Amino acid sequence: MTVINTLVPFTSAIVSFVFAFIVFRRYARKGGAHLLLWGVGMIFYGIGGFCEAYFGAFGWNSLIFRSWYLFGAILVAAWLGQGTVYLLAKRRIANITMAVLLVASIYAAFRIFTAELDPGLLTTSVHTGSELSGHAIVTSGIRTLTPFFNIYGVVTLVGGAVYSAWIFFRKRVLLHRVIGNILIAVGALAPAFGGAFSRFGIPGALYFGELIGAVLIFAGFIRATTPMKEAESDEASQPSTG
Amino acid sequence: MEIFTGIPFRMADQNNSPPNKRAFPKFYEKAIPIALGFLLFFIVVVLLYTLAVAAGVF
Repeated sequence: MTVINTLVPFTSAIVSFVFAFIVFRRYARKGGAHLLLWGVGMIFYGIGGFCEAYFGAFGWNSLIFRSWYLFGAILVAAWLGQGTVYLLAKRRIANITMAVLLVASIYAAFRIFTAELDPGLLTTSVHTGSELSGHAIVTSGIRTLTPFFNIYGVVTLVGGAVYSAWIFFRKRVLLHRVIGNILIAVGALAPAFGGAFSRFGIPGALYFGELIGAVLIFAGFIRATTPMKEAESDEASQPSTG
Repeated sequence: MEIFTGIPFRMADQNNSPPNKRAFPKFYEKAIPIALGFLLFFIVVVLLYTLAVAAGVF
């Protein structure tokens, strides 16, 4: 047990749950399916972080491993991205993709919680972050689900944030939303890079990637929902730079 | 002005004033397109990496 493999993912979980609470509180005041889905997505993020912290402290058990794989490895990006779809796409398209995501998520949950696991591959000896994978799932056809969810998540969450930032930037309006969306996009990519570096042998990279991701997405959300009074009043009076 | 030139005041004002296109502060005008470009690049990198992992390359 070290700080890196327990405290860092545990901090990610705390940040995610606090963020989810703030998003849900905003949803309760203002409504909006995107807020509801982002809140759910951050709960998933927090569950993933908590499972990793548990693994760092005590090793895997069946329930923690399955929960980590479902929420942390499969669902989180896709559900956060679905929130962005509700924000940017037409309601009908968002509803259709939501229905598909919901059915796919229930199917994934059923498959993961009924899958056969290889206890020998639920390693507890090394904790670097790189051992976090689905190799212990013996039943075929489950791990092939993961890239579909994650590609959908990257395209919708990161792509949606970049698209939003570009739209506001092109119109030269709402600078705080441009900055907020860029932070969200960087934060959403951070766990993917953490996972890649971890896989290439940098200890703890995944845990730090996830923590940085949670903090940046949180910061981006706060930035995007808090106008910059001084900067935005300057914007209107500034002449064109070209 | 309208009396002396025959041009409505607003129109004259628009014709004489410099273009006043909205702009962000200079730092953001330069930094944001660079950041968005990098993000697009990294989206492609992450997508390719995800596909490579799924294909068993790593």
